[in-house]
Amino acid sequence: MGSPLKKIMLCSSEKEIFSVEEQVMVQHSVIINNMIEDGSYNYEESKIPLDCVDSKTLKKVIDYCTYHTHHHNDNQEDLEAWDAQFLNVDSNGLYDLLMAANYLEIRNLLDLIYRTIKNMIKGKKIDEIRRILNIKDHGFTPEEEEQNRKEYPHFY
Amino acid sequence: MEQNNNSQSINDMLPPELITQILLRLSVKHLGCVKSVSKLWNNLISDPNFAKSHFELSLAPSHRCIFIPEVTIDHRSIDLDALSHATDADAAAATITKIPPSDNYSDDDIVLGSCRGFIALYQYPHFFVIWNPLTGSHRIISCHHIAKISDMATNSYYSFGGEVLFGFGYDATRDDYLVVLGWNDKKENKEGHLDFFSLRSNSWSSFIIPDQIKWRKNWTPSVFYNGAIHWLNHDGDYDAIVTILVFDTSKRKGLLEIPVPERVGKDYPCRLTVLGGCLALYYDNDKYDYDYDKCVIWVMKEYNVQSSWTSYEIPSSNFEPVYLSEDGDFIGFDESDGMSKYNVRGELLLRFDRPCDQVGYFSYTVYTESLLILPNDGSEEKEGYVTLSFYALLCGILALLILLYAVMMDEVF
Repeated sequence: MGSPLKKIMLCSSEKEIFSVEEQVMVQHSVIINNMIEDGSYNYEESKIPLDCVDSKTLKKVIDYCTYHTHHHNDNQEDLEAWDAQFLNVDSNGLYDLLMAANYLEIRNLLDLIYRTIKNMIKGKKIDEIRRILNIKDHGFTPEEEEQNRKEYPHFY
Repeated sequence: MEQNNNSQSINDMLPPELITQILLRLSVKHLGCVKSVSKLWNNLISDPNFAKSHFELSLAPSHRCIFIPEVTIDHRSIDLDALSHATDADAAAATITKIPPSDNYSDDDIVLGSCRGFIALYQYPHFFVIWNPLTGSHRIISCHHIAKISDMATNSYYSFGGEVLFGFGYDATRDDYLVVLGWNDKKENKEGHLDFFSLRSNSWSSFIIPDQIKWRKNWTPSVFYNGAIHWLNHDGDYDAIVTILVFDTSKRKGLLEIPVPERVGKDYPCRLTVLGGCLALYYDNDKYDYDYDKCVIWVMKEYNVQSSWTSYEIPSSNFEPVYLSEDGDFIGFDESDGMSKYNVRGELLLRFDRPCDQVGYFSYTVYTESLLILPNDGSEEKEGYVTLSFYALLCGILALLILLYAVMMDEVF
């Protein structure tokens, strides 16, 4: 665990630098926790390059980690309401967040996004899932698709 | 999530391993439909590792109870998750459905147990069927070499399980399923035998059960739990010390015994089960107090921790708990042909008729649905090919011998 006052630098794909409380990131990101623990982060010079995370997404990730560090004692309902508001983004934004959470290994954020996408398709039929997730090219041959539709009409 | 015109397909935005993580959170029932959303999803869901992860991570488990009544031909399956949410009798009854006919079972089958989505059935006179109702993966195992089974079966096959100790379980270290049979040969100094069949190696092995384990006459169904097969070692003898016999499917050596609460053993019948993810046992205690018939349920909250046994009482004789719901309610078969739901304080929440014409004996098991297939499943063609090559070779040798014989005969004459 790092000291609460220490700050670390994160660098987005646009080379924008974000200064964050060390503890916020250490508590949430397995990757950053490991870098701090094994001493590979130098407080004087290092910035952690996150080449596959853009500034907009990185800012969201930091918001999430900061909020959950400082509000972890809040009641479950309030936290869930905050999370729902936090994930009120367009689908590309959601996928970017998922990729960033996966890259930084932020397990509770990962789980939250997986659950959110799952709830979007849970119990839904094929045509609706394709619409929600914008799957235009399903990859089946016209014959396969026709066969599936004929065999399982109630799935569509 | 907002949609806009620029939004891209999830399949283009996310790598397959992250899509897999989302699919792992869907129920097996829904996955059957979701498979046809796209070719990529179909491939991800069809991967054998997906079936394994889906079952083992258990992010969206679905529980069912299969039961086969003694006489009617309609086998039934209960959606236990839907049943635990049902608030009226009609909704509850609607969770019970007929099982579509299948080649994998016959009317005379007896359900013996379950493990990882597979049901173990006994098929008269000396066959076992291991079958996943969802994937159709199955195997028929013959035990005709164990004379005792055929004797038993011929005498009264409906009471199967009485004198024979039956078990079905999984060995994670070898990714193997085992069918276990314990029996004792009355002719030969009452020695107990334990035979087990490995589905991976396709062969039977056996050992002698040590003397300290007293042989019983009334074995009740086994339970696979925590990597081992468990039996209640109990035959209704009032003075008998009741224990739970444990066969570790990876060690495959001998049997261990774990104690049960002291009070247990004075009542009968007593049956082992799994409730709320814990090993549990239950019995009627109407033998001693006719005015207050009740079913006593003991749950071992922490495995093999004696102090963790916790008891509950359901004010109904013949109640057989089948499932402990997420809300903490007991669901079970009740007197006559009904089912009921009680809370942990023993208050009746719901009672409804089981749509089943027959009252009386039936066999059942609770299982968690899975997409798993048995080891070596799908390799039958390969085996057939090997057999074919063997016969071809044999024919070749025979032809050569005939030719040789003809040449020799030629020389003689």
